[in-house]
Amino acid sequence: MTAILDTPVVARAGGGRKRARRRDRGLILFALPSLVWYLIFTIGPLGAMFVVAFMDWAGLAAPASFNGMENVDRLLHDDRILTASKNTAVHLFVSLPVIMVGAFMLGYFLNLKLPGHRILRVIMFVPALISLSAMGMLFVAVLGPTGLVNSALDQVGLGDHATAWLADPTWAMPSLILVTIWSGLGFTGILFAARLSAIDGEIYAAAELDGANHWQKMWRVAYPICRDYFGVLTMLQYLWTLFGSAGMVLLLTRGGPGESTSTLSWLVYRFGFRSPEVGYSQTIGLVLFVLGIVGLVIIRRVFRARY
Amino acid sequence: MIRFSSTPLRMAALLTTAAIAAGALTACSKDDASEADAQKLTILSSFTTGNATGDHLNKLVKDFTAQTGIQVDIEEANTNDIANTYEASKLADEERDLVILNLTPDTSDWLPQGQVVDVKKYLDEWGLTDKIVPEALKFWTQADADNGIAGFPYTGFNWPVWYNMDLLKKAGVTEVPATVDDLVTAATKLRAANIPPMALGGAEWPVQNFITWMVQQYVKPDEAQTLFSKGGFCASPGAVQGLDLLGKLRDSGVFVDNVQGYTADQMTSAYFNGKAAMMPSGSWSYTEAPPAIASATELGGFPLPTGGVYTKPTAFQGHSNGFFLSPNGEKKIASVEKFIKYMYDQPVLQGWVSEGSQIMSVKNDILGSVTSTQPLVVKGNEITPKVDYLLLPDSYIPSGTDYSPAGSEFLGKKGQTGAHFCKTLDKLYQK
Amino acid sequence: MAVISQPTTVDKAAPAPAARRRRRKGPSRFTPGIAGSYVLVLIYAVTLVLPLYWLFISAFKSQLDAVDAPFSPTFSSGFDNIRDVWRLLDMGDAMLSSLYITAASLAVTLVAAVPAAYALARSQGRIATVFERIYALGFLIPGFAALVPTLLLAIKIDMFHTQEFMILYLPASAQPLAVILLTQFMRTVPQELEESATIDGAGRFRVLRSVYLPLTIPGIATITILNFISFWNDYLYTLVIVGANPHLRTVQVALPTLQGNQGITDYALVCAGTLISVLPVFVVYAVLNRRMENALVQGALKG
Repeated sequence: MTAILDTPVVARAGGGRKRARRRDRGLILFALPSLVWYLIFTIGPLGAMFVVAFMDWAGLAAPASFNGMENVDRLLHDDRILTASKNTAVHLFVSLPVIMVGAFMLGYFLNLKLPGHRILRVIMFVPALISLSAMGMLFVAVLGPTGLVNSALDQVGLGDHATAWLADPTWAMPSLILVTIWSGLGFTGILFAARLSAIDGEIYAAAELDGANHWQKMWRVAYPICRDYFGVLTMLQYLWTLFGSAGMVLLLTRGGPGESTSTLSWLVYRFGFRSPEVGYSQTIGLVLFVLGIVGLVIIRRVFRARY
Repeated sequence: MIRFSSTPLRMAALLTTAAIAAGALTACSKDDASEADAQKLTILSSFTTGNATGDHLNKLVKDFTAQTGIQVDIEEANTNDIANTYEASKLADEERDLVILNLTPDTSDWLPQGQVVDVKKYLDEWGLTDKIVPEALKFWTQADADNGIAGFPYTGFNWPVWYNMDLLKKAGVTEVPATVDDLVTAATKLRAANIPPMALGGAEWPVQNFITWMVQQYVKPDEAQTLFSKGGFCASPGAVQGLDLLGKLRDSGVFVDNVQGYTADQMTSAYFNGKAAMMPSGSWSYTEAPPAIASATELGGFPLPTGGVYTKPTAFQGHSNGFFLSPNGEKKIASVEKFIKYMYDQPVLQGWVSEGSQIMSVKNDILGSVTSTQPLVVKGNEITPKVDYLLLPDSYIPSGTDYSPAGSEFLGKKGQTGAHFCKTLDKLYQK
Repeated sequence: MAVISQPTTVDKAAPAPAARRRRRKGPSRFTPGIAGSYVLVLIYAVTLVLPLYWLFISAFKSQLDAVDAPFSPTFSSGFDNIRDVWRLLDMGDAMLSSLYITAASLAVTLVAAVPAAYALARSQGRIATVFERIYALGFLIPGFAALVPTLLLAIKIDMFHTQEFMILYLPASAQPLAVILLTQFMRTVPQELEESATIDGAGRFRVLRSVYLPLTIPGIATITILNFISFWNDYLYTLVIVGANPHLRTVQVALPTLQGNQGITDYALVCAGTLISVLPVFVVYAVLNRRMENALVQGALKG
């Protein structure tokens, strides 16, 4: 499996290997409850996913049977998977960089503690506070045919550009991307702010003496220190978007119009809960699993911490 | 030395202890409860609170308990999740005794898989078979379960087209359009008067139903049944004609602008707010209509196209809602018998009509004479002689096949023909 | 990309005179770059306030107003919706159930994750890497795909239709995120502090308690609020495993029952219910918000 973080190699003066190992044994005890607990509830589902992916299973209480590589074969020849893969790629490659870069800058901004930053922090967290279904309701109202966006366009005389954003083949995916960015930016920004607050102000002061402006302080000073953390948050956002897009798609577009917002995650949901094909749904889940690992490896490479 | 408080950890320990203690207490109290429930019925209901059906059911249940002393607990779940909820609890053998739900592709697996009980013999034993309308019994009889009956059919619906006569007259349209040509003319007049013509939930299930509505204009029920179960739209000239008809309606501006983005709720509220002059919708919405709209509305079928297979304007009707009996429920069959018989008592049936504004699946002479206070319910009951009923596709379209995304795309593509769209629909049936 | 034109006017941030609040030494803090950024952030903030605004005003409207004129603040039905939804859904019971499950799960999560993060942060050997890899696995399962095996587990250990199973499950699913994030925060604690504490004779547990905990309050606060939200908002698992029984169900399971069965949904009622359900989350966030900023590091180093 992939490691997502490099263990920081901290040079210990006069430590010695033996002492390190002895320390570690004690440390394991601290981590055991968490690990064991987590394993009980993860290994099962993970293992199950690998097993069910090769089964023909209709529903929760339907009879199930193995069908070898049939599901995989079907998957490889299924146009819908291809379309969904393309959509997933677009969704990720646009939203991920925008969120991560934007959030980092936002976190830095919040940490400047400018007047009003307290209120801004509270506001930034709003998307995280409201449940997915509330967000769905909201965006259906905002982006609907007679919703806020179209009314606004009408009022400023651009009524001709009004369209059903969520049902327009050109705009449905961009709308989904926009919603993803909207909900991820503030929240991730707060997470960055929390980490950035632990950076000693004196480091910035030293850079200022060298004549650094905010942009340089942000990317030449803060970023290298937080590179590890940046990588972790990127990984989290990547996985969340890759696996979690089904929720938004369900609430906003149900994969439509046509297949323009059908993502791999949506297909897992669709085959698992809408049509009775749990086996096939888990097969697609396997694809997501592989993509997840590949993504993790790449992200780790990109953010390899240098000491 | 630095001194810091360890409040967080102390708090955590406190909370954990409290949690465990509370958990232990609740576990104890639950054990006591389970002993006394031999005389209790549990119902999983899709008639949810805040709706006319849910509220009326709650009233009836209280009345039933008062009369018989049998306790009834109702658990509600919304239509999207209720099937999963039942199946999950069935896995644990903790399923509820009765389920109030529709027989749809989602639930048509239940009887064949033994998740619910065949109620044919109970219908006979309790004298209910003669009370229920034959079409309803037929609908609930499942061939792939040895012609067993999946549940007790209870309420039905009709699904006509709603015409707001006030708005139509404002645009100079004096009568309900009788043919498709009339409809197109009416739409043009409406648009000239700045009134959006026909609302449709283009992004959700209404468009799926509407597609089957148009297709059936040129396809008879037998062929339609095969079409909806297995696909093959391109191979059927009638089907392609029907899809072309839908395209024609779209291109002639019969629908409101951006119809492809309307959800079912948005369609209904557009009509209820006078922002659309017509809408194809069902009896479940009769009671929610504002009084002004309700009195201005005339219900009728969809206008006839030239060369179609029906002679009267077309509409849908169904008998899909009823009571499923679970294996757990069968263990308490005495209590279940009392409850079911109570629900089929004439006063109760009449109450559903007059107060719940439902359409019952029982014969008229059993129901007796009763009218609802809701004008639309009354009007809905009067449409039968004026329309031809189409085949309801719900029990034939396979579970998980959803026309809606494809339909939404079609409604947004001006000029796309039926010949093209049939390919998209056929693809939905691919394995 | 779709552009949302804002019908509301954006407040241009008036740059505060630099002389007014000198929290730090230095020149004027409002360079053009900062002012421009402030404007952008404000625009974004307005779009974030929008859902709260919409939620808030919809709760006090009549049903038709809610869908027809979603953004105009009519007050057509006053407090009726709030009262109705409280009564119809037995909100009191549901809120208590939600609170019970969320609070208990949070406690368990922290008790398990904090020591684990400490172990990973301070580990010298390969343990950290191995453990981190194992935790990464947890992220690779689509949430709802794990529903069926988890359901089967609940049935097997006879805890189906109990709230307690969620208190076992939720912390477990929260471990990966909690441990990985907390480890990041714990790593920022300087080694010298631990050494000085050890020299003074403190055992490992004491070190954790006295040195690491206070310094990683931002991390713990972050994890607390993140998990509070995720546990409070959990729907699918709670619905399937705890069930729809009014005495056991949580707020999130109760709310969707307002959705009209096939007809029109009373969105005003739904918004009223959602508003009530969002309140505790907001309160917890308001309380923990401060803690997410770290003001102690400098103090600790100098002390």
